[in-house]
Amino acid sequence: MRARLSAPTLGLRLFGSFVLSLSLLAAAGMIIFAAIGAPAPPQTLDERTRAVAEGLRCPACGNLSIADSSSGVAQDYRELIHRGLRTGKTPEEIRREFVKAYGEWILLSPAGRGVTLVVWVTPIVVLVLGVVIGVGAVRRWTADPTGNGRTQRLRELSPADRRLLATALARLEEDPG
Amino acid sequence: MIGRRWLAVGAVAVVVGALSLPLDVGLGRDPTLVRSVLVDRAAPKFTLGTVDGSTTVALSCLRGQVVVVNFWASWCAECRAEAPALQAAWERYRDRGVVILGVSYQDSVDGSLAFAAEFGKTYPLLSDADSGTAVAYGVTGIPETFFIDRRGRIAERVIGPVTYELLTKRIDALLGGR
Repeated sequence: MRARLSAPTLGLRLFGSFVLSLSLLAAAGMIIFAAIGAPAPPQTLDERTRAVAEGLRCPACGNLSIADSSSGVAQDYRELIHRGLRTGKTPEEIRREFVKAYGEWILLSPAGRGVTLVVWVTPIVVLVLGVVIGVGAVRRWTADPTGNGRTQRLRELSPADRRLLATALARLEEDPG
Repeated sequence: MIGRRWLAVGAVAVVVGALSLPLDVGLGRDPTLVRSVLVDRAAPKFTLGTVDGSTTVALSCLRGQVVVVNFWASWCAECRAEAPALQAAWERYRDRGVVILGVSYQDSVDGSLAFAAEFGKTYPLLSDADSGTAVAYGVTGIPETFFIDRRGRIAERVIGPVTYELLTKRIDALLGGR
């Protein structure tokens, strides 16, 4: 037979479900936003040049991208990218040339392979762990709202306690005042 | 119960500590010291014209010699500081199978020529007008100097001004096959 839930337990379970639903909705929202919000693929040569330049660090201007820096170096590098694309190189080939000379450091978004794969995988692992821990915690709370095992003990009254409780209830019924 | 709680706190602390360790190490490093991925690899080939337009130099034609490639500009104070050392090294080693090449970086022709005249430069000063060679060498700023061994491989990269002592030490090592 299914046990009836007390009001506080039911409330906690509802709250837990609400929090979980909200978290899942937020995660789904972020994924949808990332998919919809992604810029359209570049079409013209200038757009393609900018797209490549945006992903490359300007080596002589701190952490600005080649696209965003107004320095002469960045201007030259933009021209190199432009020329490379014009002569038939793919964006990936141009990025590879920069990586060959500068290392992965030149990429503003670390590549999803090798050691830098950790950067991409860690958030997902943490998210999954968070959900697992959250679900586990909510389950524990709803099963034992006091957090110290008292709910379980109250449900399992000893025969002596049951007799005492029955006596007390009988007295209460006899003399409600 | 308390034991378990402390265990959980400890586990979280260990995980956070482990994750922040690379950050702690990274923050203590000098961001300008980026080791070149080109060291121990074949030096990128280039063919560049001299700043005075008189001739061109191809790196591939210098195979078998020790080559020092120095990226510089006339507007760069540290390049001016190292200029006498490079010229002195050139005069000492030019007949011993060593070539020093200066590659101008983001500089005007007039500025480069004035610099050459001011410091009495007699080794080839090349013009990298489109910065293509600078990109191929992964130059992050100037001055930067690359030492290329007789097999055409980059042996070392120095960021910042070089001294005469540093130049002779490195060149002697490469001449000695080290």
